[in-house]
Amino acid sequence: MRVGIIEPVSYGDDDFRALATLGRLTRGALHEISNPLVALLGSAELALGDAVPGTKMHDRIALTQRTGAEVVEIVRALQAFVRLQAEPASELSVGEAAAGAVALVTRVLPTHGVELRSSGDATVVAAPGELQGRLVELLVAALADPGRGETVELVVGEGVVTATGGGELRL
Amino acid sequence: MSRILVVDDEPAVRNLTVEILRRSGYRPHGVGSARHALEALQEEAFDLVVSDVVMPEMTGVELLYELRARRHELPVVLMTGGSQEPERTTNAVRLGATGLLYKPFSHDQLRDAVAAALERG
Repeated sequence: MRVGIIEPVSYGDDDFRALATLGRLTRGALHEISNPLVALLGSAELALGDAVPGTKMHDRIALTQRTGAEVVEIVRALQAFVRLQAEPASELSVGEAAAGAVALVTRVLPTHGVELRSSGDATVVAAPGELQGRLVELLVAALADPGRGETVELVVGEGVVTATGGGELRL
Repeated sequence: MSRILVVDDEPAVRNLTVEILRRSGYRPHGVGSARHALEALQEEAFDLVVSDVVMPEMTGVELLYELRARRHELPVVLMTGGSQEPERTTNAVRLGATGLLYKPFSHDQLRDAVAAALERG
């Protein structure tokens, strides 16, 4: 089996620097959001247990809990992506990394259609965060393409990953 | 009935964690800093520490190291958002934390982490 290598990309451009700053701010915001979410959802769960089922109060608390749970899922997906950046390089399945990238984008941008298709798989030596980041970039670029259809496809093949309208990642 | 020391500088999270554990049949006690946790541990015996990671003055990871340096072998569960200090938190688990609980957590996730840590400890 062919084993590719993914090297970290070095962004020098001002736009990318601004995006890196935004990334650091987002990382801090994810931390700051987690405490209020624990308090909000934990309290809602306690209140739901105390409320009488069938009452308006019960329904309102249940709605608060459901809505909060959706926010929690997005926060958790982004936190997992941040944690992945701390993992050292190793031999990775591109198919598994692509599935992770699709799951992340689907969770964070749930109104966009994203599908994963595989015509093969490849193994690469890469930092997991670097590989998933590159695959997420492919998907986000494809989603930003005004000519895209209803659904963006991420296709994993032997030695290359392509996203409809979003370019490709050669392995 | 297990005695649990809850350490979190955020009062809302600390009080809520204490309340969930109390309703789950444990005997929790909440403190707002790692220093207060060390004081509480000198005065009273606990079966488990559940501590936030990012706190002013002394972090949950530093509290863990201090406990191990003092030969306190009681289990420690660290609560973290995991996005601020992923490397340090991962190292903490390698160096002796019994469990890791990612915020935001549900009641069930808290109960499961506590039960698993008590069983292992």
